[in-house]
Amino acid sequence: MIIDLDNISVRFGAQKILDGVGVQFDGGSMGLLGPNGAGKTTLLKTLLGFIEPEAGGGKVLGCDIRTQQLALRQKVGYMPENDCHIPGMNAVTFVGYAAQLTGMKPKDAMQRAHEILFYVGLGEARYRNVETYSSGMKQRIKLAQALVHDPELIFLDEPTNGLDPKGRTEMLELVRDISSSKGIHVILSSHLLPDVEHVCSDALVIHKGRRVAAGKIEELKATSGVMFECRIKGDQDVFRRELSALRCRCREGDDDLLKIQMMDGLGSRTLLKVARDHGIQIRHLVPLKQSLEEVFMQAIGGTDAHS
Amino acid sequence: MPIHDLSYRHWSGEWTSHPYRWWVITRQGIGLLARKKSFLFLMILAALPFVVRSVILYFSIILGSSLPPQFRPDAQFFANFLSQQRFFTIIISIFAGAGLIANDLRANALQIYLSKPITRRDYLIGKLGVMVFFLGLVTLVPGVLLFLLAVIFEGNMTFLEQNYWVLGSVTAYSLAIIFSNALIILAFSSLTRSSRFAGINFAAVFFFTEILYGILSGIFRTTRVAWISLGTNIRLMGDFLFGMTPREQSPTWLSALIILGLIVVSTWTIHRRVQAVEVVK
Repeated sequence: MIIDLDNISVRFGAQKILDGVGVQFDGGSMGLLGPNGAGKTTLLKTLLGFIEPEAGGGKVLGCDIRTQQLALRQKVGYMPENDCHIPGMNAVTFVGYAAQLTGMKPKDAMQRAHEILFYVGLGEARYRNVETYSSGMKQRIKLAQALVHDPELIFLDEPTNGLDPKGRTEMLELVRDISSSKGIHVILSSHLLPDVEHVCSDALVIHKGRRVAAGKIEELKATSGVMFECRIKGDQDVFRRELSALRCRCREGDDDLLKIQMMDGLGSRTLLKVARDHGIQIRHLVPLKQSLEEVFMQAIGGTDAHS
Repeated sequence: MPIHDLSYRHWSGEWTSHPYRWWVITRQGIGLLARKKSFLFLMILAALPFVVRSVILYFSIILGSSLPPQFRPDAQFFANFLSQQRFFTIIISIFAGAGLIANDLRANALQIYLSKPITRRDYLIGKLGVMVFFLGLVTLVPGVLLFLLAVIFEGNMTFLEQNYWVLGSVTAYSLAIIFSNALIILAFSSLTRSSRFAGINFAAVFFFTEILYGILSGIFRTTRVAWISLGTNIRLMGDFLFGMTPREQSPTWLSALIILGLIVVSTWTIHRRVQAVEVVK
């Protein structure tokens, strides 16, 4: 087990940031999803041992997050969300310095820094002062310093922040390569669902400090009930009301299309029966595969409804 | 498909042991400062009094008792040298120390440092090491070298036998200057994201307390209030360590206590401020 966290709670003053979050991660790549302020960064910082949880505990790569923080940080890499660098250094010195901080000898660190900078696409700009870098380059240098000591697991906090579409695609490809070809486990924190869907096999959805969904992305999509796209002729309000009574969710789409999320156990027959009972014609009925966005919205909506 | 992928290779080399990680920070800090020409110029300027005193030392021993007493190599000679160097230690502290933590705070570098296998203590010792190195170069190192030169120029063991304790005084006084300056400037540096602001605050503490002491001693017509001045407290400790009559009436133990207190408070401040996570409550 790469990450095994149990019932983690974190409080800053009177505010509870994480509330009983549990995470089990076998390896590969996991997306940490949630709206802004959900507690994603706090969870990452707790995993790194920056923040001591109020309750709960667990292990990352076999290291206890409360007592073995140094051993843990030797094995993981962290790419922070905000701009950060060490002032007065060019890229190769900065990454080499980061390598030495993890315990590499100066000569090895410098050699490794050159390799990693080429890998992240900064090879040609490696002698430039980091302070003169563009946003995209700063994201890459943060990735480089996180990778330089060859970690087993890497935490990426919003790696595509501030990137243009081309830069974003390149960064995501890089992250996917790290995860799929280089054997490094990835935890990707993002509020951008397509980023997570592009890179990750697993997802953990956090909302208001609570875990609201977790598992393989494909399974999450599959287990959230059947979904249909439907166009009707007749009283749409009645149709929607009847479906709501059956605890199915209806959303209006483009061109008078309805997106209907069925409750578990209900299927197209239910739709047809409701339509027949109320004299409504169904003109179009297509089963839909849920997107991660729909899973996410459903999970978050569910929590909001409960709270 | 490539025959051999050179883009990313796993690392299987040797790691250095953890107890020396602070040295990486110290070495890097020294290297960054040593590349600044203005700082090098300052260090050369701070070395000039040592050169002048070495020459004086040489002639004082050659000419013997024909020179005025202040040029003779005794405890007073070394105390005066280190007191003179205190001016340079203030300037070097501002130049080297003001940005050591403030710049890291400005660039959000602490989360990079602390996401590596180093502790907050390693970070603090590493930054302190930079200050100890440069302040040591203008106090302890030339002080000890002057002592050794005196022994060498004398050509026999008489000077060493009579003044061996001065070496201890030079070391203790230098360390008092180094650690008080280093920790106070690092504390100011940890309180702000602006190195300029940290430097101004540090200088203000030295000069404002000196001015305040001047005003109060003028009003009350006594030097008993000398403990108010940080610089005078350090000088009083020097007078005590070199066995000289204190120039102020303020008790030496009070000066020592104030300096110790400032060192403790500064260390506590730095430790509180150096965090990977800034929590806004």
